[in-house]
Amino acid sequence: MTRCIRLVLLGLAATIAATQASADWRQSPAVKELYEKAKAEGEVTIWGTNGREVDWIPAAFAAEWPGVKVNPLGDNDIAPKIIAETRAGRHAVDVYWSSITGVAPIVQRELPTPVDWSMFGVSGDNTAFDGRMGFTNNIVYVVAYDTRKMSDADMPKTWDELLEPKYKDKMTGSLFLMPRLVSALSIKWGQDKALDFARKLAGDTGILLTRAPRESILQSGERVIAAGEVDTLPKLWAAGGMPVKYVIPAPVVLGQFGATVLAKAPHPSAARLLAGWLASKEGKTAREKGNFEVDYRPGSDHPDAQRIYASGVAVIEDRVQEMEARAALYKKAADILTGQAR
Amino acid sequence: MTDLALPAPRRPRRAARQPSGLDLWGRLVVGAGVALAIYLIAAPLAMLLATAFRGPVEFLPFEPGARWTLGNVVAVYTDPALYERVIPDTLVFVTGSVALSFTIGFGLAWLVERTDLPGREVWFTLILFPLLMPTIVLGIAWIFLMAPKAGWLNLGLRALLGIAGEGPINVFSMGGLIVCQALASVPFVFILLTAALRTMNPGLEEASGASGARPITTFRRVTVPVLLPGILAPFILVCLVTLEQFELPSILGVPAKVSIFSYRILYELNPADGLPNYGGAAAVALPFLVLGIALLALYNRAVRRAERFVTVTGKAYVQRRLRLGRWRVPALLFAGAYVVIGALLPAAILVWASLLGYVPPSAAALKEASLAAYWRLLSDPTFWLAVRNTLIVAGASALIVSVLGGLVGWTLLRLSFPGRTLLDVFSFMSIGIPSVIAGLAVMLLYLTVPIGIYGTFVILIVAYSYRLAISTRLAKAGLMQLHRELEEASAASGARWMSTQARIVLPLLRAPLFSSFVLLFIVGVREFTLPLILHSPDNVVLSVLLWKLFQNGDAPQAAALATFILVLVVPVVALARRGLMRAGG
Repeated sequence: MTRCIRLVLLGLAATIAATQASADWRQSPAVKELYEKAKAEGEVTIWGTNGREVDWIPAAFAAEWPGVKVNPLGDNDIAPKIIAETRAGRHAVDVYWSSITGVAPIVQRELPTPVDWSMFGVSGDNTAFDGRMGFTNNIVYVVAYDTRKMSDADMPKTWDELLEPKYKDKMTGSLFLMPRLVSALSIKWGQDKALDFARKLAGDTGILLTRAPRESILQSGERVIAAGEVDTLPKLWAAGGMPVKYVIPAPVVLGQFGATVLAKAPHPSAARLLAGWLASKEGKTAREKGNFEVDYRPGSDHPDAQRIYASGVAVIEDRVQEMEARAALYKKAADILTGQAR
Repeated sequence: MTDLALPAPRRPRRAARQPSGLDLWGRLVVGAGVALAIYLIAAPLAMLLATAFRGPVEFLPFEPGARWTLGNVVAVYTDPALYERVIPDTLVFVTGSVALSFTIGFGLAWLVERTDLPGREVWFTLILFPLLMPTIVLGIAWIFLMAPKAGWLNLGLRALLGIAGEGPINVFSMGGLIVCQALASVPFVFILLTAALRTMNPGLEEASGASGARPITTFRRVTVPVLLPGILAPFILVCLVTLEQFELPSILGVPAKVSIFSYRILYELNPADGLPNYGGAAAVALPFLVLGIALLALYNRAVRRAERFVTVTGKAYVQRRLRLGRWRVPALLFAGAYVVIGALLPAAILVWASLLGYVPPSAAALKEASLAAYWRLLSDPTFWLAVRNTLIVAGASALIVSVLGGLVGWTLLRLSFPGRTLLDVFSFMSIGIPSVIAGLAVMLLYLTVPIGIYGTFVILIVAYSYRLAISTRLAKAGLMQLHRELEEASAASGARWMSTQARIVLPLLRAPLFSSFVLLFIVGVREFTLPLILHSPDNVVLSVLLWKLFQNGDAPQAAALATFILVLVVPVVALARRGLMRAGG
């Protein structure tokens, strides 16, 4: 109880601080000066991990900062691409947006530059890699279901409930996401339990793990639950008219995404303005409107985030120091889930 | 009737000639073609071989920090699961799907090219449909049709047979995967075999028939042996291409715990953190090269005496078609069954999804149908840029590769020189190089060589043009059926080498070169790995746009774009086919 009250108070304090900061930052002389320089540069190029993550940005940014054109490019392999381009002396990208694991290789090569995120109302605990990455949003792993055939009461409260016989032959899941979920769960459960979960999920539940779009499996009626999705997808499906909702089982598993400014950005001022805006409260609001993505970090004032922390459930966040262990387990989990190993 | 328009006799030139009639201009053209072919393949091939032995995974293969290592190969090949599950599953999958696709593909090619099957041009285009559709669309369509619980075919069969529960068909099984992969591969087999069947002189079959041999005997003793190079080349290519498939196995096979070797490539390129494991992916790809060399050696051994397969000589022949008679209806049913399951139903699902997403068909759902996805697509300037880029890149690369393949094929068959076997192996190896490795090679090469093509559509043309295996094999198989006496007669009449090629060889090689062009054009339109690695806002192509839309979960717009690709490519194929038929008689 005391822990809950402390969390709520901390959340409130952070919200008040962030609100005050974000109300001011666009009016500060430093930001105004930065904007003028950005307008003189005229454009800014941002790379993100896929099209959906960056395609909403040009219109939303132009609405707030007219006169600076945003050129987005979405691609899964931006890390090797940017490393190869930089090695060859080509510097066409200003802002690089990715997960912590996607940013790590470029930080290792010292490609991003530190940014003063406080200019944009972003507190230090919402940054990583010594101020080189500003957090913009999270993904949260969920269980989505067809509301015509299942109800919220039927859904699991914890991830291991997915192994119960009542879900047998009812689930589908992503071959890309499920091993990542299992490796994240190992942080709370330990390796043995996480791998046992993967074995039972793959062997006993009849789950349809595939690279096909899961919405097609739900729509066809072949399965009624999509387990281990990220929250953005069921939100997108529902926005497209699909009768689908989701629950967030415990422990809550978050993935962390953020923006970096490249040291040799051809448009350095526009790059800082864009990255700062993306990490700011205003940028986060625009992101949710444009791509249904939310900031679930402690201190976020988003109602969904506050509900999670108020409930007192364990939350697994992306942490740089845990990534290596998770990667090792990911390989084992993927082998088990795809049938390449027992 | 094939018209061999030999030029009027001229006084033989004094210049020394090879038996092939190769003069100075010929040497220049052949030399330049072979050099360009080697250049296009060398970078990806060298990258593949080197990358397999570079590590650790934290570094790109040629970054400072990377070093030579056997770690990738050891990691992949000491995994016990490889020998217990992956290799056995892969053998069953490849054997099953190649056998089935070859049976169906050969049957269809023979019906279209050698018989009086009605509507042959329409069948030709319809049979190619599955090749035009993105594999993910085919996978989704077959899930809708053959999923054990809710698949429409299963629902129909259960109602018809009065059975309860699931099935009887299960697309999520080894059997289901084999059938689906075979259906997807049939157009590839079909287009390769039509080239061989079209070039074949029917006189031998007719002579066999006139001697009293039954059709089946003629087929076994004449048709198959004469077509050996034309059959073996597609067989080897299809074996290798099937071995590399990971899209349908990852959509339909993994749910059934079917472990396919090539899936490992995808797995290595999608690590939980950090960079893709290019070294691991290249190590997985190495056996494709080894197997390719082994199959090529077998092929060369089987067709060692090329003269045995010559069917087109200086004597004219008439293309006659076998009358199907009472077999016409079964033949139409056979072709129709394939086209319905392989092409029309998936196409119908595609159109449906473009209007309504993945909503199951019903009269009620139809009321919600909307063309909004098409309007959104057509009003997007990026879409029109992608259309332009796709047509240029797919068309230019198909043309370059077909021409180079023809030149390399001719060089391998008509010239004798040191290193000929190496060139043969080299050109064939291109099929064993995964796109992702080729893309990385081209990216690194043109980032280093400052000729200004990085980020433009030209780099895509160059990247797509490494796939010489298909065109070289097709051209070689076609040339084996042409006796060199045709070229010798032309040379003896005083024609220059270029003139002989343009007026005699090229017209007779129309079918294999056309097949090569069409196949490569379609592959170019569908290709998404290379343009994804090399893409910039200026060189976006339709396949990248499609991939993004699928990734974004925008099913209607993705389906609308896939439908547009069909609408774009089908007329190109149909028109090209009609042109070929007119020109060929």
